[in-house]
Amino acid sequence: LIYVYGFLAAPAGVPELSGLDDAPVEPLELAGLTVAVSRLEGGAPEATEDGVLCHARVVEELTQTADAVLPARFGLVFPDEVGLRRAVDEHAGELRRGLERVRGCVELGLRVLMPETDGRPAVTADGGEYLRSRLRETTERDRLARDVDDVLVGLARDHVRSSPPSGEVLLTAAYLLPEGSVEQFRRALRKLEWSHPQLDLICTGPWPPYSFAASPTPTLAEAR
Amino acid sequence: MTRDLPLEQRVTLIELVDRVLNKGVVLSGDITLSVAGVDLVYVGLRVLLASVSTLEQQALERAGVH
Repeated sequence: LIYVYGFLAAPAGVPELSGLDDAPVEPLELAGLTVAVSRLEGGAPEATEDGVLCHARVVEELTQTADAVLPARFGLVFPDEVGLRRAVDEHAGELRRGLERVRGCVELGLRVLMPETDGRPAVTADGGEYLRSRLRETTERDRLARDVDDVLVGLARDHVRSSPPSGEVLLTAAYLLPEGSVEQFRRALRKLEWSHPQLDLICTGPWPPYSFAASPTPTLAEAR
Repeated sequence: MTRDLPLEQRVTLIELVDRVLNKGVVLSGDITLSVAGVDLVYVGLRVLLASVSTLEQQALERAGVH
């Protein structure tokens, strides 16, 4: 089996690394791209914590030496090189566009949390008043999420909201930033923390641009 | 605001696993995953996610005490 970690703009070297099952990570030149792969003896890898972390580590290492890397999703395997070549040929244009989009960029993740307010009327109170109160609350939460998102989107090359708000989470988003803009982004976040003390802004990264890799099929979560 | 390291690490782990399993390139449905494995990872994730805000609150309370 050929296991794919990611796609790089060719020509790109691949550092000496051991990947899944301790197999070496190798570059394959296909359709004008460099594909970072391992040849696995056993079957498809299982999504264990070790496997996921190993995949993440290899992708991270690839981004240290190349300035454009599109990470593959965990579990991308092909029976042989012919199968891989066919798939890469078919998607070469899309992959190249994706690489240009993320070149020189990193991804920052953000979760905006707001602890539940206490002053919510009980359901047994006047039903109309209860509904109006919930509506005001929802509108206010949307406004707060937009406040934060608008500022950060202005600094990013691209952005994506990854799931609808639920419970205490007002916003889950990822921002694609040129590496030189990360400090500016963090300064903007600190300002937002000051101006919106009722919110918790949890920022993670920089990540390889997983959220901005071209993805023609629905995610696992969406398929559920 | 200084947050407890364990919380940061937990959030980082959630974000990492979410990216590796849900984001990233797939080519015409060639993803083959052990479904059981994924479900296990997801059960773990849900538990972690549910505890993020609780942990956050506890971290704040501890920060207040000291």
